[in-house]
Amino acid sequence: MFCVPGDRLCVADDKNLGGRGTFLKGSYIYAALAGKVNIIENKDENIFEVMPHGNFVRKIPQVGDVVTCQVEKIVSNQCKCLIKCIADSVLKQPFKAIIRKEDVRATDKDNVELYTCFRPGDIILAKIIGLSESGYLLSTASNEFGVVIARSENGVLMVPVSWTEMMCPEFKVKETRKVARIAIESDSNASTSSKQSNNNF
Amino acid sequence: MESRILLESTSVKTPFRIDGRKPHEVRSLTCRLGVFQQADGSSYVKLGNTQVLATVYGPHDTRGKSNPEKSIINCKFRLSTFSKSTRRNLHRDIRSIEISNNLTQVFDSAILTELYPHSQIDIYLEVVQSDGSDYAACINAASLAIIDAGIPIKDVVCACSAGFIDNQPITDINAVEESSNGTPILTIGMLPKDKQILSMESSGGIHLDNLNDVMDAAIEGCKSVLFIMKQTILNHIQELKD
Repeated sequence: MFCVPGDRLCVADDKNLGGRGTFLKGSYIYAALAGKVNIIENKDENIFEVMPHGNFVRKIPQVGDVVTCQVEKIVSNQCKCLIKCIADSVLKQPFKAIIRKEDVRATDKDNVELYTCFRPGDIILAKIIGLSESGYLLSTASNEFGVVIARSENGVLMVPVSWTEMMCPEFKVKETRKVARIAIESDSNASTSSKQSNNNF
Repeated sequence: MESRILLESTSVKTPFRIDGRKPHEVRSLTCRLGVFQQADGSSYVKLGNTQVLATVYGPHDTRGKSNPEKSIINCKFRLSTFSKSTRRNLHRDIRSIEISNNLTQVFDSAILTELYPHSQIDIYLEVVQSDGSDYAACINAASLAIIDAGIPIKDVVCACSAGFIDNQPITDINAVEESSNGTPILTIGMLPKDKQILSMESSGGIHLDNLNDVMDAAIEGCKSVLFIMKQTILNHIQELKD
């Protein structure tokens, strides 16, 4: 069954719930998108949702999302970056975001030197913790967040050696970074998004 | 010499208009969705000889101020230089700015903006050929482009214009009727499901006694426009699914 925005789908009660692409008004569920109506039938409830035409969902970053970003510049107490992907979906246009100095790592927060953690051009994994005037607030204060892909001063892709250092495989020069520990088994989300960013840049 | 807009026909009781239409007849409407690849959503609307292209971008990051509660709608309406009978640069036209602001308000209330906080949705409208009822055609085009972009909206917003000539309400005004002296024009943009009027704009003097008749004519016009718009959307979705 296909619908256009404004079509009444069903009466809203305990059994019938509105899902993605729908909205509630009065005591009815209405379609908010044009597309195919999908009814997910569970044991004691039906969820109505509208699958938009084409294979896309309009996405914007939300608090709690794991995102892949590129570092743009570093100023005294914050690091400015651009959000490129949310989980495993690539955004068409990037969103501005910042990492404050105190959100870089969980321990020893007062002695963080930002330029030893990130460099412009690095690809990082982070979690959105809030919103501010100048964009989304990110945090890398967890083991699985931090720098995923970085190039050395000579432009060679570096490999991580510890959680604070990465090494250039060609010249054997070590540089300091806040390195992310990517555990493939435990954090499938993080690994897919880092793969995506690999293709992108 | 005064040109008569409604022509008395000898054989039929109903008078005909300058382009051969009956008073309540809407010009032929053709719509298309997804005319541009690079935009998130786009549409083309041809209402008689009025042709409008609409593109929608977003929701994307804001440039400048943002609203933590909802998405900001940014509408830009433009008449192309070759759209009217005389070639003229209408870039900073006061009427264009007015229409842009009206469209912004219409879609601010129609789109479910609270779903996309801290973001911006851009709607660009270009009138390729102007033959009256530009504003109504633009609302229809923008509404289709938003639906094509997959942005949640309360309803298919539709609009139609109506006027009052020779003691008779007429639907869907063309350019000749628009430019004839003292014709009152009323454009209504509405959410058809709740019969909620989002925008009502009028120019020219109209007597209060006749206002209801003209409004009814415009709302009737909206209904016939809506029917074609819904058909177009459904055809477009089905084409994509096949």
